[in-house]
Amino acid sequence: MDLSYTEDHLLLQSSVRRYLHDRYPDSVRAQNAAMAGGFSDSTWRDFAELGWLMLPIRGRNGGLGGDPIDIYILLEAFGAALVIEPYIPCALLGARLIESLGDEKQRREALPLAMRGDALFAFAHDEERHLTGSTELTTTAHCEPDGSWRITGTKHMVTGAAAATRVLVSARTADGVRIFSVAKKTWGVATKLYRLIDDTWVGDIVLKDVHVGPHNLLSGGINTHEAILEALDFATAASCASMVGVMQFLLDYTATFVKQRKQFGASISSFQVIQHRLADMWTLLEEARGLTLRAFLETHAASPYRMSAVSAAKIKVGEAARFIAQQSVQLQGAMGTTAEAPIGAYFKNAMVFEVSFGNSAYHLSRHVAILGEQYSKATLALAAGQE
Amino acid sequence: MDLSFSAEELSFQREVRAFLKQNLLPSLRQSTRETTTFYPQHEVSREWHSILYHRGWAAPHWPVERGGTGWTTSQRVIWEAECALANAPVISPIGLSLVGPVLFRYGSLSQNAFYLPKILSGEHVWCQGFSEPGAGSDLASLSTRARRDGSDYVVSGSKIWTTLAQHATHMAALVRTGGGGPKQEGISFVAIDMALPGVVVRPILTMAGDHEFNQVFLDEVRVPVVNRIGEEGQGWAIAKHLLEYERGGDIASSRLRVALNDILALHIELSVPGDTLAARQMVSTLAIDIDALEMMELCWIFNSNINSKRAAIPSMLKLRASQLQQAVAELGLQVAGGQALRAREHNIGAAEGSKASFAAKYMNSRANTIFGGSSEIQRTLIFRQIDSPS
Repeated sequence: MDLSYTEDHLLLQSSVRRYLHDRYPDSVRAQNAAMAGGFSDSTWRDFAELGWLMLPIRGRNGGLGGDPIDIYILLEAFGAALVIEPYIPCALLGARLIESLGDEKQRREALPLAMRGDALFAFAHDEERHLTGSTELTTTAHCEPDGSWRITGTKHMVTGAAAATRVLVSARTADGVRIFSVAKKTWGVATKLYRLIDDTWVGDIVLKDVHVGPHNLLSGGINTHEAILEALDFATAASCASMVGVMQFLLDYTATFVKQRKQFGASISSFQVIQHRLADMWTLLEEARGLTLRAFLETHAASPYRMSAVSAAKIKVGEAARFIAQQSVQLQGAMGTTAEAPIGAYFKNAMVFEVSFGNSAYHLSRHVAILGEQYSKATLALAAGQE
Repeated sequence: MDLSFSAEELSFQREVRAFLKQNLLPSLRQSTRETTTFYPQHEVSREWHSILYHRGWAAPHWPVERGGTGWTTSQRVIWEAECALANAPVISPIGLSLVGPVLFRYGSLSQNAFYLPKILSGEHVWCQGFSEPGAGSDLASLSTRARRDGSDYVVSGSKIWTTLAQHATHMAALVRTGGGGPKQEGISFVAIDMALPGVVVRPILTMAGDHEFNQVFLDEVRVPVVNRIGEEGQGWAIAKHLLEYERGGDIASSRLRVALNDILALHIELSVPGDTLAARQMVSTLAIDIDALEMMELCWIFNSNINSKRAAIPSMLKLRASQLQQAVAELGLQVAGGQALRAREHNIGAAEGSKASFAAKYMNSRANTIFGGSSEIQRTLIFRQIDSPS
């Protein structure tokens, strides 16, 4: 058991922070946000050059090993700088699905392109009515006699859709859920992009009888449903890591502000209520950080433990993010509510976090279900005389 | 970074489980589950302490040359977790975790030779004489006086909230030996034999009717100067060291998890229709908070470097552990229902006694956010670190 970063982790951390400090100030972020689809090809190429697109990919697929803690470190720093680039949807989620579900040929074709930044893959999964991770999809894919496929359906709020060159579409087939790699420009694919309140972009994708070849079906995996759950869990943990960075920024900014702000002849940081509020914010942040790390450390665990750890993190980070964002505004007084205030962007980022990868209510239901199952298993085991 | 145990650690875990299975009597386990106070009944403590002492495991955290076990951090974590899982009694830490470490650092050779073996064996039972009626959070304002007279201090005053003073053989007391100057500078740390003339212990019952706290009156008690630990006027520094050392060493999360599992089991057993989902959500919410506490505890104990600012963590741990103890007690009472509110004399038998204990646990748990540094004090301590350099 070990709860520390290695030297390599610390090196990665300082190099990411340095890049963001030097090359991703607010002005660059604003510039990138103003581009079509909120995507800067040049920033993405920087990521590729720095090897960050290779971090999530395993060594045997040409990547840097996929150490979950590397991803935690990267995303915590990204969150603090409010990086709007679609790292989680494309570099992480899209690439991971290709890794786990692509056959050798598909992996050999797609992954090097992804790692070089030449191709971006977005996972088109959520639909209006179904919950994250469920398989009650309305998007369907029918197999033609010649082995090709026809896909019809609508996907909602696909993150990374703006920047993506290809979308990985989940669809119900006669054999259960499968994933198809579809070029955005394919005839029958209509993408409507829109900006969210936090300057990230998502797309609604309508597929009308989209015709793709047999090689577009990701055919290397054994259980698509499990692979989807695992990839989504990892992306969820990653989004939690980003929020830890967001919360740390908000806490630091607010602590500095209250020290400087004077009312009634004193810094408002001398007032006990303000002090205790900050203490509560910081404590929640550390709880959120602990559970996020745990979610990363349980990435490879058996699925009930992994799912339970990820849901716990999502719930706790959600609670902490709401409290810290709200109290940051509160402690900054009227200025905190304005468009000008720097914390506004972080506040909005936290709002988007809540609804991404399943909201708190969804994850609580999931956690309850798993706890119930584990309890039943444990009681049965005890009854059978085992330990 | 890794949460799993190595092969050796798993083997140690098996050794600990086997030891507990063989030596932790069912009566002791049941007693732990029904304990409504912070510490169990004295006889239960004594019995378990004796069993541990004979195994050489009474003080795992002491230096090996003093009787410690030399375990790694992982082994200590495993030990705590297994004891919690098995419902082993919690032994009062005053002697083993407070006075012991103080003596290692500040005790004279003869003091250590006299006191340490008896702390280890459990022959001496210690209580902590710090708080006074007029000095709780503001401990430095304490006024129990120790007037020098020849080779003795003549001690007069009163200590309050003295846990287990009714069973103690000795008190670790902070007394005022100096006069004038800043209040912290006139304080000394003395060991008071509870059998000395002038020591009177008066029980204080909690609203649940439990006797854990006391008020101790010291009326011209002659305490030999040789029983002063450390220098005269060094008492405050010793107390500060001790409070910082004592903080953040516990793994409260293991015990919390066991308590929550018991509550879930009781809820399922009672099978109240219509309440199930809401109760399950409450259980999940608490389970998540306990998991968060566990991660923070592990990061502290393993000296994690993920955070450059660590000094606030022990206060966060105390704050959260005490809040969660209250939350678990609250949920337990909610699940146990109205039956738990019958007065003690109507609760006879193991099952009834177990359910009834939820009311007392709930009432007594309100003290957890008050003693050991109140939540308000902890928040102030946390805040003080916000400004500190990373």
